[in-house]
Amino acid sequence: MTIDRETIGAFVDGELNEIERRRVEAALADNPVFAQQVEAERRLRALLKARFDPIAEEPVPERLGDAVRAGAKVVPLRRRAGWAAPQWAAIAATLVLGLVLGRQLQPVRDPLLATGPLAQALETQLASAQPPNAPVRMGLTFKARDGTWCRTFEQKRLDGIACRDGGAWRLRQLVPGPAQATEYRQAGSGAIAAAAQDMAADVPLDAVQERLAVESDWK
Amino acid sequence: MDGQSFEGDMIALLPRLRRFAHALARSPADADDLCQASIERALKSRDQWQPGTRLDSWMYRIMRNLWVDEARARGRRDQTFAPEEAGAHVGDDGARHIELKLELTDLDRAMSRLPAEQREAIALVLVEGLAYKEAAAVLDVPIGTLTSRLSRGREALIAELGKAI
Repeated sequence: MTIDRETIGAFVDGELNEIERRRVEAALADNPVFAQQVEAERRLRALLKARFDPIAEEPVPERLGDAVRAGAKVVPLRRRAGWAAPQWAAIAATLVLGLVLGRQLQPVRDPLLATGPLAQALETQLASAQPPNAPVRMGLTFKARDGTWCRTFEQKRLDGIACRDGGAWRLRQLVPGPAQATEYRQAGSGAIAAAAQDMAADVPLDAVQERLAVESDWK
Repeated sequence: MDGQSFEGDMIALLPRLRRFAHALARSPADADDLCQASIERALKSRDQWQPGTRLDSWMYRIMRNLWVDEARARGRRDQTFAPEEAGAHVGDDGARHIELKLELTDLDRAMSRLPAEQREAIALVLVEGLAYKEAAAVLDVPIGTLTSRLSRGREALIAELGKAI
């Protein structure tokens, strides 16, 4: 069975109907080449999100807000009725804040499931006992407010947070790893730690609790 | 929300508009200039916006059209990154611009090599998360055109990034 690249893309984008999706899933199970293509598409999506999503989380430069407000001044009065400036500014600030917070807490749109060595490490590797040459390094393990187990990880090209979901590990936050840019790594580690803190219901597990969680298969 | 919240809605959209601009433009300074030009254009043509329709799609369309016009005006004289030019008209943004330029990733390089029509498809679907139907409407092209540009763009990025992903 052949599946073209466009269909692989649509599969990853969640744009296929039920029948088409089943067909692709069957082909994936059948042919490792398709599985690799899906994996590459998912990585690309994750990289694009990691590169551009932080821009939507930065404070917007003042001149852009000013440009909108400058336009508001020339708006006919009937449209501005009831929008005294200070009240309007406060509402605008609330809207921006809501949007930024909403975005951070929003799950990634398509399923980004960890596979291969990363999935293996997330499932079984202890932060307290990892080999120095491990391809993936575990960081914090914690219980998220939605009740799922989550772990931060570092690997060569991509750092992030993954949470356990129905026996698999779903990637929730991603930043490019150190092979791309040292600056990103430093910013990224801080961002990952901050994101973990935001997601966590409680303090991270200690070494004993982490071992118990692994040994109980994340029950 | 009614027409009175036009500016409020637009303020709320700014983070996403900036992200889209950064995915399109060749430099951070260009991206914020593009954002500002889009806001000004939108305010000037606000009577053309139909309340009740999506402000975000309308703004994406304005921004994308300005970007295409700008790219055309520049022609092919700066196929590659043009820091002097971008730095020259952003004033005190210059230092920040240079700093950010140092952080250009493999991905930025790969994105900057994409033809405009593939880049805008990638930006709308993979960066902004629009459904194919929505993205095709913003670009005013049939869905089949969008998906084939998107697919070629992705293949080019994956090939360029190679083992990086």
